[in-house]
Amino acid sequence: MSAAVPGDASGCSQLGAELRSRAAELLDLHARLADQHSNGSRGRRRAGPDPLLVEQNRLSLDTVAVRLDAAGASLQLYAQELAGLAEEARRLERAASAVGLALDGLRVVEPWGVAPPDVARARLDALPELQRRSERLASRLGRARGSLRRALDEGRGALADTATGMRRSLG
Amino acid sequence: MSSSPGPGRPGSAAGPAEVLADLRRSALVGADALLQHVPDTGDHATGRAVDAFVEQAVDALRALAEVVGETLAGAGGAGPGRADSPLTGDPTQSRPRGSELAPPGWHW
Repeated sequence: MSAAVPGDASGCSQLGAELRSRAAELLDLHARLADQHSNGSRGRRRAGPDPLLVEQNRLSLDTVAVRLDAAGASLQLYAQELAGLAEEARRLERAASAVGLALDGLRVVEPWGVAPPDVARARLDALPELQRRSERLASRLGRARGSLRRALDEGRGALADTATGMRRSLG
Repeated sequence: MSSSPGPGRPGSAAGPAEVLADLRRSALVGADALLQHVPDTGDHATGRAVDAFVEQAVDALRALAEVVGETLAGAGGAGPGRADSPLTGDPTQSRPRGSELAPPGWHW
């Protein structure tokens, strides 16, 4: 983690992996139910749960699994981007520090105090390029966050609809 | 040594009831597992989106367990899908919010 790029890439990645792992387990069960459905259609049905209800359960299961997997993938992508941006921020901090500048968040700033003219000149020369790098970094960070939020909001809405539909079927 | 897979295992001759019982268990265990994660996204709005998604995912998994439990209960009662089975998860369990992790005074 970098002070300029806060966030725990590892924690985000772990939640992403958990979501995808749960989705994979559900999809495996989905496949097993599909096999049962297929066997039932071929006249090998045995006594047990109502096939229509099982099929409804399977469809709900599919929606939940697909949404968990998509959210997990988005979180993993975000974690990857966050880690890359934190590394880029550390490089930027080193470059700024080399000419006596510092990063305040994602803003390149001059430290307090009087600097000799040659040092002040070197800082002024380096500042625009460092600031451009910082702004590009901030822009990428904003896009990564926005992209994750949109993906999660979309998934949340779909899961809410599915959960409502499932509970409505319970009567 | 028996070579046949146990009930409810992939590739076994388990019927739909066994698969549904596995599904119900998987949904409840998955819901509880998701609640253990509280990642710091580094941004309040993004953290809130993660919190909201996880809470909704947990609710959807529990709803899935409920409907599967009903399907099982309708198929003959005292199976693992009964609504009064101990494996119902804790609907009151929640998680701390990742969006509350950031220390004050940080600039996002």
